[in-house]
Amino acid sequence: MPETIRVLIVDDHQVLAEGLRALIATSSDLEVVGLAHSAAAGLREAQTARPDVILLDHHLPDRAGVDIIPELKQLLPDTAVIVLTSEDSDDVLARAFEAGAAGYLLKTKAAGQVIDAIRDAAGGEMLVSEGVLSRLLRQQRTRGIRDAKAAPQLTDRELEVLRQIASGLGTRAIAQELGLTVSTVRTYVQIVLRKLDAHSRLQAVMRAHDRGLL
Amino acid sequence: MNTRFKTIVATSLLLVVPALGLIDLATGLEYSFSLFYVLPTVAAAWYIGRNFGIGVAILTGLTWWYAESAVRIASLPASIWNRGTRLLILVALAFLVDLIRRHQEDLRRLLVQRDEFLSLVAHEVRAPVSAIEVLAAGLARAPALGADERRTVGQLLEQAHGLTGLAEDLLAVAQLEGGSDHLGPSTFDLRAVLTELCANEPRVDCTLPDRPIPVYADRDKIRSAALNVLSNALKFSQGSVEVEAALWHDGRAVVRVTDHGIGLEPDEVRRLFRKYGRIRNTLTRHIPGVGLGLYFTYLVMTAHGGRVGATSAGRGKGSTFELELPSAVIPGDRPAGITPIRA
Repeated sequence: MPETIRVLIVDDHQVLAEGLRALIATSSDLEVVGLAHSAAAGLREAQTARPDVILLDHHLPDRAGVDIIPELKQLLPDTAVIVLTSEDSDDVLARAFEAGAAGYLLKTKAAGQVIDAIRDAAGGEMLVSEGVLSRLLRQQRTRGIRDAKAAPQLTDRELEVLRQIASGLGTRAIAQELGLTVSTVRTYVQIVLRKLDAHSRLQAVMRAHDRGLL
Repeated sequence: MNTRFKTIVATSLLLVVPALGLIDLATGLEYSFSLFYVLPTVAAAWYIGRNFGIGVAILTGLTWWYAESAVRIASLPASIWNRGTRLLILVALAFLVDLIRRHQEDLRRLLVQRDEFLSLVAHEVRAPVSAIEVLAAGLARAPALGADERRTVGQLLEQAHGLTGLAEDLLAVAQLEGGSDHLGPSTFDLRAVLTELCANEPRVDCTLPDRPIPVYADRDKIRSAALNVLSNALKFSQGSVEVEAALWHDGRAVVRVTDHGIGLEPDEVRRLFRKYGRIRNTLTRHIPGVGLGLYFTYLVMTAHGGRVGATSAGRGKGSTFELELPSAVIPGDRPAGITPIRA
């Protein structure tokens, strides 16, 4: 994790965006490197500021926030994107996770959770509760969405790590559960992400589920 | 009501009325039989509408007239008066039942509109209130604040938090009332959830079994449901609150929350789990809340095939709330501990 986490806020609600900036600025390990009020401005800012974490509102005036995640991930593959939403709509969340978002943050919870959420996302953690993940996977199954790609070969250990991610555990908890060091777990997570061609742990879980690995 | 159902009801009623006349003829006119002549009119006006109700009333009146004339001998004016008034009563009944039905439909529509309006307001206020909350949270962390300012910002934050909580409750209830599609069930240990809830509150005395309590449910929603009951117990009592949990031999996972607070009267227990069923009296007036928390808990538990109940020995004698969920496994033995109660 970088020493100072660089954050870009993309939200058209200016008061909320300014409030988030003020709140984030109170933490010495976080730095707001840009503020954008539209999807186009967000993409531009992301390219110039190269943040570690992007707080991305879903309801933007020019485009839906989740629709620009693939472009953001293409520009900045290592940047974690947190989707800011007013409601946990299944459709929005499923699209966000499939596009590679690290997770989502309800605006109503932002005051209490945004700082931890940014730190977790920068550390590669998944920001979603077990209940929401399970609901989305069930709906994915109901809709019969199937990824045509064949399931990659994962070792037993990699599968074990993947299952722990899917059950909502963070790096530290997985390390504790499997009796490994945190850095070993991080290495396994990177391998799993690469094998599943995923940009985030969430995307890896969705893809693994899709390809019958979970 | 769909057209097919209405057609079935209409056809049945048109067959029932002459059948009643035939039975009346065959049985020889008992006065108690008159009640049966009323029912088709009530059913027609309630299920189909006023015009069909009047039609059935006239048909029933004439059938009644005919059935009686075949058996009973009476003077002509008395007979006409007697049968004519019955016919009028039946037609009036059709009007009356239709009126009640319309009022009931209006009321139902109004309730739906009220809930939709509240959801809309809740939806719309979330963004600005979240902004206020975020700004206040940022301000609360500013190092230069004096004690008074810090207290004011704390109050601002608390009020904004209360408003977002209310908005979230309204929307969560609306979501659950819409069906169980929003549940994301998984197998988890209920004991772990309770351990976490108990750990955050020093007034709670938690007695949990040694072994896990596996349940298949939406973890977040069950946590919120249990938290509502626990928060309620803490809000309405001063002393300690006991939380017990057990996995029963028949596969039920039971959580019991007991407080020694203001207690409940029997009629209050019945109202408690209704929407906006907040108990309002001198003891509860100063405690904030609108009566959605326990209704949310009721919706969550029933959506999972479980139940929630409450008992109390009366005012000032504390209350016990019990949450019950079907477990993910049925253990072989019956753990010692709590005895089930029924609300």
